[in-house]
Amino acid sequence: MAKTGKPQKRRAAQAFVDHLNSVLNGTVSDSRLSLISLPFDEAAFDVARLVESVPVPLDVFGGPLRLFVRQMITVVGDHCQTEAYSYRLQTEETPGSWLIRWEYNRDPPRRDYPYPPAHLHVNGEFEDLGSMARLHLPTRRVPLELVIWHLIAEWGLTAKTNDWQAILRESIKGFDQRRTD
Amino acid sequence: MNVTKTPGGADFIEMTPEEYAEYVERQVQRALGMSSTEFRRAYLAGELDEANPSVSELVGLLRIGQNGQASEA
Repeated sequence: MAKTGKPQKRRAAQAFVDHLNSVLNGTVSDSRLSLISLPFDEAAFDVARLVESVPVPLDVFGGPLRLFVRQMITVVGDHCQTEAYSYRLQTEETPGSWLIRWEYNRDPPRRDYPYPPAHLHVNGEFEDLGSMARLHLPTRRVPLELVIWHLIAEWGLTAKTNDWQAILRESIKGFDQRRTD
Repeated sequence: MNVTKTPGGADFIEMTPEEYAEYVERQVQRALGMSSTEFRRAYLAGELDEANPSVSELVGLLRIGQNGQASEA
């Protein structure tokens, strides 16, 4: 593993969050994600939209829905590795208003953790079996771009440009090239 | 807390260890009404409801299980 200094790690993390913001701001939102440096690990960063130091969802175009985005990343060599993500479609500002959650933990958070590292939760009910909110429906690691794609295609979010698919497709190519697993 | 801008204009936030600890504690308290120490214990003991969206988010924030940190049950 290549060793890099603190400035290089910051530059890599800043480029990462700037790229995510360019995708978001080019498609569904004018909100910006912030980059928070973790003081005990110069390679580790928290990515979220903060308002008065509180993580909040992004405002999106086309309706009252909200998109919550949070990633914990570590700079490894010259690229950013996602350690965990939480993407949530919400009807309001509060987490309790979630409809769909895409989640990922690179490493199992506890030894007896039985769920797939990347999974999906749906806040719905089976007609005869009750709530499905606790189910961890397995996925591959989902790029944020595909979440945005889904929200435009099926949840009525308004894209800022007719080129939204090209923006997302181009960014997904980079995701596939950068990913390490 | 020191806030500067990335080249793309995003906030780049640096905190002292004390400020960061407060930042984390505030979020755990706000979401679940407990301390981060209690959250870690309760999570590892399997006592928290996975249907609560804040649980998974806080697991990531607290880096439970990441980078070889304790993931004992």
